[in-house]
Amino acid sequence: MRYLRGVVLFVVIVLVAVATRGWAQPGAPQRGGTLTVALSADPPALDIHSTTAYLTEIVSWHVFESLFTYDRNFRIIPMLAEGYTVGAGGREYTIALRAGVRFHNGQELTARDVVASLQRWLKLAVVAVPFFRDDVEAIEARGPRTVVVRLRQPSGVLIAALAQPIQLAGIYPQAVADAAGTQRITDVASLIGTGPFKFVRWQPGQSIELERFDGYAARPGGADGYGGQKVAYVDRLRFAIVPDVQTRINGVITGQYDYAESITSDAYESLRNNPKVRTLILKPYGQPMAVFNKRKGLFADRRMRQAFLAALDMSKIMAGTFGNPLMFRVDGSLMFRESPWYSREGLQPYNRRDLARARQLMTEAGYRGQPVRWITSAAFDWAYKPALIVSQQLEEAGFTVDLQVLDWATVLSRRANADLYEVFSTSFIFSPGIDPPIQPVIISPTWPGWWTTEEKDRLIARLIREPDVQARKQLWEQVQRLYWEDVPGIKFGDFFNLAIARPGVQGLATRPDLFFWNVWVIP
Amino acid sequence: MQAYIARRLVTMVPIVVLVGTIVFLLLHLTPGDPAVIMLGPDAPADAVTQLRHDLGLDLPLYVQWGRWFERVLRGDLGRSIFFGLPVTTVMRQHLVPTVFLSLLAILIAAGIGVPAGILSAVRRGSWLDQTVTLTAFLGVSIPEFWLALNLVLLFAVQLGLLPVAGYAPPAQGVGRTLTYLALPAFTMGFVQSALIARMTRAAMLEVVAQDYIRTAHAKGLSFWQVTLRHTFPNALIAVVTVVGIVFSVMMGGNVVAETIFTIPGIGQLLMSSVLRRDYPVIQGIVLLVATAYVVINLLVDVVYAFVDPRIRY
Amino acid sequence: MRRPVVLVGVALILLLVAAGLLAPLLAPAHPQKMNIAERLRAPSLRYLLGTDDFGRDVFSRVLYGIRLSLTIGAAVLLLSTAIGLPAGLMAGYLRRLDNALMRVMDALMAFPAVILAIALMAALGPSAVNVAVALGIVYSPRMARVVRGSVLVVREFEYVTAAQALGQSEGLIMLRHVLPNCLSPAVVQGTFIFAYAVLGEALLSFLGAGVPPHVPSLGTILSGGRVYMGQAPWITIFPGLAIMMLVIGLNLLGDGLRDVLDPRLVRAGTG
Repeated sequence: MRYLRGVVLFVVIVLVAVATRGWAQPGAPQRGGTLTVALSADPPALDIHSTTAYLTEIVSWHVFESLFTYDRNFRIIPMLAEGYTVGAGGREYTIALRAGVRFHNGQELTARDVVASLQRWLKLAVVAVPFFRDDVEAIEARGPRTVVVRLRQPSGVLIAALAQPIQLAGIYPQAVADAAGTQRITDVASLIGTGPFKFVRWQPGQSIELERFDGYAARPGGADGYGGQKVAYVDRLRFAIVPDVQTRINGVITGQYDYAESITSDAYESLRNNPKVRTLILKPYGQPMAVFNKRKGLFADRRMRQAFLAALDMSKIMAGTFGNPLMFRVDGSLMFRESPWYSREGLQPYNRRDLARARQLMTEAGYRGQPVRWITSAAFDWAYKPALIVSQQLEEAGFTVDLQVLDWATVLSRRANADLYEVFSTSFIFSPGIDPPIQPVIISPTWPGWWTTEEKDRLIARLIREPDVQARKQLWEQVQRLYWEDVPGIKFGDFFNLAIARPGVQGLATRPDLFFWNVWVIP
Repeated sequence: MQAYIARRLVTMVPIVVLVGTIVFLLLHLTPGDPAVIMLGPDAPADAVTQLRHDLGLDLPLYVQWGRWFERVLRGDLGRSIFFGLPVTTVMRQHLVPTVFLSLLAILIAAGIGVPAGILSAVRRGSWLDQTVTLTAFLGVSIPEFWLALNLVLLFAVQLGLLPVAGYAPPAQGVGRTLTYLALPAFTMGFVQSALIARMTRAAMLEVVAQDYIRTAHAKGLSFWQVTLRHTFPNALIAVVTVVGIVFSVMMGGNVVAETIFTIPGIGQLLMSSVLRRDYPVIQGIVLLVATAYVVINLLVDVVYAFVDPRIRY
Repeated sequence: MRRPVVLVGVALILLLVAAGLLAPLLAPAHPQKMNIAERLRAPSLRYLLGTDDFGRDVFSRVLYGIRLSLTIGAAVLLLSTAIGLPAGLMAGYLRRLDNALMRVMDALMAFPAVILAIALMAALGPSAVNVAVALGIVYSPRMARVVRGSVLVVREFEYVTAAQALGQSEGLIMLRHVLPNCLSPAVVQGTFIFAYAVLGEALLSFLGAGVPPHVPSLGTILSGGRVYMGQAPWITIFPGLAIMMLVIGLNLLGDGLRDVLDPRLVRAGTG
């Protein structure tokens, strides 16, 4: 009888202990630990002003922040700025900065730092900025927390350019920006930003190490896309360079890495059922495409391009390249479905396989069987596999295809020369940019492929200067319709990025992109 | 002998320079522009032109070669286009893992291969010989990356005994470095040990057929005395040749092992730099590897002379 | 004297050579024919060795792969021997040429095959010829060094010095006395070079510098199937086995040939 009371007491204690532990468990973020991320290649630089490389972006945006950024629905929100006003007929932007923001070296952020950083960034940026760089008359500090940008002409893209994550307009301390000029900063000690993490060490070819910045001034409110409240829960963030995909997969399975990106889509099946791994599908991600040489040769004739399009079965192409239907979408819209710019206008010619029509167009254009030189590379699945599958579809239609599989550097070099090819492979990786984020192949007449027609150039010029969002959308829809009529290139579909993580990694978002603030690890 | 070594060292210089120049020409005549790769494919043409100018890539070829050559004489290998760091720094960081890996692999390769070759030769026709020969066959015919992937699957993923990939510098503890290098060194070593075993066996069998071996037996020496003091030393030339070849191959950086096991070594650096057209790094590595080859071959020839007194230079 | 296992080697090689030669007749499907609906199917009656990630028949591809790999291997062997054998012979025998020749061989050996292969590929486009040329040049020092090593020993043999004393010309001595006694290691090395060529082609394809990836060679099939090792192991198992069979066969053959040449060596040793 005595023992019974003891036993009951013991059982009650055990139950209480278990119950309270259970309450403390999942859902609550924990501080501490190291998060190791396996990257697929070396970033060429960590100085975010100096390159458009995606790998630089996903590392350096933990360290640097910009005046504005994008929320989870890809709308522009302030980040280091408090807000802005536009005056003088759209030619003067007055930007108010937040107070109490500190750099990693302890200095407070002032307008002079912003001015110096933006001036440096304007000289180096190659995306979106070329549209208005010459229009910038001056950037000045007016007091410690106000920056004024004066333009010669109004621009519809300035704020969007300041917000774009690619080649971020990150804010550096004035001393650093002035000292570096247009030279790339390679010394990690100088790469000072305002973000939730700071750089510790960079060993090229091996790893990049960051640690939490305790003086980080977080925005109030919750997390929101690329911005909002960013909390660094982990003590250390380590990016390991692991070029081999099988090694990245095995590393997460064994727990050596916590997260790995760029996993081949076909691995999804087996990984989905593996209890040691969580799969994450990042959407939107990219669009594989083929671009025509419109300056010289067979495809200077629009009918040949339309014939090519009419020979294609997009579902087969996407399925053959990416495997599992969860990893891709057959969709002809040039803007992703997740973006506010998505439209189904003008998509009729997309994925309409009609071999009779193709042959008719080829005859009209006078095609006599000359080889179609297609330059692509085995370095990327999205370049090589569609090219191979499409080649077979083209041959069924009556084209002769000369598929040249080269290394990527050679493809980049050859596609600038109009004598060397008829078609090349490329892809468009999603990044919010100028609003809407228009691919270079569409917007630029000097980008390889050389798409320039009077109508297209006119539409684009209007689009860039148009301040009203609704009007911009309508102009964009006309561009999309023109794309599928004129066929400067062919988008095959949308594909997503497969990433994997250990089950103990919590707080990961798959939209809009890959970042590790607001993420914690359970060992 | 000293004169021979001196002569060899002198001729080493033009050889290394020749190799470096050939590679220089080959690279610059190969399509692919490092400036485009650095800035990204979407960069506007004038940004690319500016970078090419900053890197000195728009100068005529002979001027670029002259500059490079002059800098090399001063010991300056230039700056990596991709990393922006001095080539010597980048190479130095990547050299340590490769050297460690090669040493470990050659120890495994010779440590397994030479005794196996000796044993299978002296016990020719026996089950031991056949087992060794068979294993050596398998070792030589397995594609190295296939072996590597399967070993990783077994030892790292299924059994969890060794790490999947990566590298820890010796500064963090030599023990840790060894665990990371164990699988790649074994992969490289096993494949090369097969070659060493076979060549050792072939050389031993040739020597064993010689009359002086029969004489040694007739003199009454024990079997192993004959083998170790007479047969093996005479076979050593061929063995040394193949070990030398193998080591110099390894020093070239084994791209496959370094890629699969993510060892940040010279082989992986070379491969990435070629794909990125990072000319200064490629040329720096080629100079280094060429020098290493020449020096190792010289060492092999010197050992020849010590081992076989009949060889005179 | 002739061990039965040598016959196994010969048989293996003959089998593979036959498979390669008769590939056009034996292959049930065109090796490049894609069928997306039939991706990654396991081996069955219809697809003897399964299908790959494009729905291509692996059996047909392996047959053509054997054909191409054998061709490349033979070409590499021919080229490396054509360069390496005379070089090694002259370097070992003619003291005055030794230094110069071996330094050139050193330079070749120091030349990373990867760079040469990628440069050729980038400049001329990927092709089997480029692979054969790149590997043939880069492997020739192996032949040269082995031959030279052998020559260094053989030239001190009594019958060689005797022939020298008799006043025979250098060329004659090299060809009639020195060369035959160096053939044995050369043959063994030759079988290795052939095998290395097969593996080297696989490596270059793995790195993207070899034969174009849609063209079936044992290397391209292996590298294409690498990422599918978990879900579709048949894509990598069979070309891997084919390579192993080929190389084992070559080694057994090499052994047998060495045995045949052996007695001559013994005879020669006694003068």
